[in-house]
Amino acid sequence: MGEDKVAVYIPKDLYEEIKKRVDLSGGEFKNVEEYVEFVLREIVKEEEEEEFEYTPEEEEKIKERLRGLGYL
Amino acid sequence: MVDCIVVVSYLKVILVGVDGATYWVIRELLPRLKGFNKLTEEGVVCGLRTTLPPLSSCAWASIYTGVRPSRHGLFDFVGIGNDYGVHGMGFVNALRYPVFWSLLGKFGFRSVVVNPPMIYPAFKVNGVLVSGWPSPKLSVYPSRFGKILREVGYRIDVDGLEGRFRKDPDGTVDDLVEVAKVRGEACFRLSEELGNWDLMFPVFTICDRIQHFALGRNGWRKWVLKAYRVVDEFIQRALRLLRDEDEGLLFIVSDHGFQPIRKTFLVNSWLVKKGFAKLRYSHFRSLIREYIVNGISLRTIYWGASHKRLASLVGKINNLFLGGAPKRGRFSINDFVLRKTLAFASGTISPATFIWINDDRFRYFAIKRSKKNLVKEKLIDALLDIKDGSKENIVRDVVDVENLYDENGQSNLVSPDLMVIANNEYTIDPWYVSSSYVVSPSVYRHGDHSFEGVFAAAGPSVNRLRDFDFCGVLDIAPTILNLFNIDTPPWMDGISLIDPDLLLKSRLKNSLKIKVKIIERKMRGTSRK
Ligand SMILES: [Zn+2]
Repeated sequence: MGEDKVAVYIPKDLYEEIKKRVDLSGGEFKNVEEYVEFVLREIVKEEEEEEFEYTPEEEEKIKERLRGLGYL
Repeated sequence: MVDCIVVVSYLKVILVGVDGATYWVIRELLPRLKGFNKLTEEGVVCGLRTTLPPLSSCAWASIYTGVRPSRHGLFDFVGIGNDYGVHGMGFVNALRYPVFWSLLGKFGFRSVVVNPPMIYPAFKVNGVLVSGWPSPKLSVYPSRFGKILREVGYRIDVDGLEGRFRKDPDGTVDDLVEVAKVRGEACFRLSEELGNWDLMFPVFTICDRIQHFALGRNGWRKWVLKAYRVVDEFIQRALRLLRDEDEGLLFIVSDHGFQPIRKTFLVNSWLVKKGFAKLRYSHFRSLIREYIVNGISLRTIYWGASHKRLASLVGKINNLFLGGAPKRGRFSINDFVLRKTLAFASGTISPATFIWINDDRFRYFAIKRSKKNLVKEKLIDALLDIKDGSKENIVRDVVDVENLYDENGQSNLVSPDLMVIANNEYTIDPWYVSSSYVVSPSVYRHGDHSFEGVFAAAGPSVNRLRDFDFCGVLDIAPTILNLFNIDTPPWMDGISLIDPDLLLKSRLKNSLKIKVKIIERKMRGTSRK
């Protein structure tokens, strides 16, 4: 385990289930840890996406659309 | 007011959003619109009261949430910061109140929502969500459905419409028709792919675009008919689908109506003329500016084609000073001597716009907050008194909105003080200054929004409606929820149009009321104030 990691315990049957998928992934995931990390990151990412803020470029694009309609 | 809709049973609901669809226009074109004809025969088509101001951002937010603009806070597209900068007001996504299809999703109903204006990015839903205009880019949830959109050649809108209408009106209209056709096709394809959907909700923007440009012009019908026709074709197909699917309901809703515009009220010019605001320009510069601004009215002649020389002259002037013909004689609040400006206007060009008192909420204020009421009163009196020529009043009403719109979604924005509402056939433009404050409308503003949109309901499950004549945008979300046996959430301002005694209770879920409470609590917990 690397320095910036902490241990999290999961039930053994879940571990076995995930291991099967890791094996089925044909090398996509090296081990269970990598699989779990990937899934959790995806979930966290989705959470983050809900807290969306648009960039200045996007805001400019929005104003451009409004001007294109003669709204501004 | 609406009596009620009587629902015997339901299976699927198709809610067709038509930005800018107008009751009186539909009545005029009715003989040539098969789908709308069927709706009139089998159900109801009536006027729909919109929000103040009658803007898409504001009205769609109320349609989705069932909440008044003063509470949802999205009352314009843009707002003003305390540095006088113009900032986007954000999307519906950021509001405190959930949209009706999110609530449907929590009760297990699946929606296909395509192009809802002011929704960006697409968020997680039970079903499919394609972000709506004015999304900076297309966003789809779940992303795998993006493939279908690419296959059909889906586009959010036609860009740069104002300039395109000027150069090639017929080609531009045809392009808009193509975008709308593809949108309809995409909606059916996505629903098919999802399977087992409960609500289909596409929003078409074509009627808004074409009416802005065409209404009030000679021969407007040929262009406007094309817009309603493509929507009508979707309605016909949707009615056929509902019929094949046993039972179902079709609704039509628009965010605001349209009216032809005869004159534009340049509100900031008026503020200058009456001494409420002071321009920074030297006399010479303001002359040049006025010359450019006059290009707006000269450009209307551009259409006549017989005045080509004049048109090219206007083009040359614009090129000289603005670096390109499509750019207009624009004006910003920073063009005022702010320390000598008591009030200024901003916001979207529409028959209702906003005025701010330049008080100590702003960086270069001209008056203390404690003293601004006097200015406000003077302004209201003067605005209500404005005459165009000899007798016509330009302003219909002035509303003190300072405390009404105190929540505007973004903390960096300053609340406006007054909302100015123009009389029929006038629009208000805060983006120009000129020595005269009433001018001819610009190329793209021969039509502008009005306060009466359209509502329609039909389908095998809707009985004839009793004394149905008018309802409001706030009533749409409660109605849709009620169709699925979900009670109107307590935070909504609208009233369901469904007769509660005649609802089928078979699909009512036990957990329903508890869930509504949970949603409400969560919502209050995330409130900003
Ligand atoms: Zn519009």
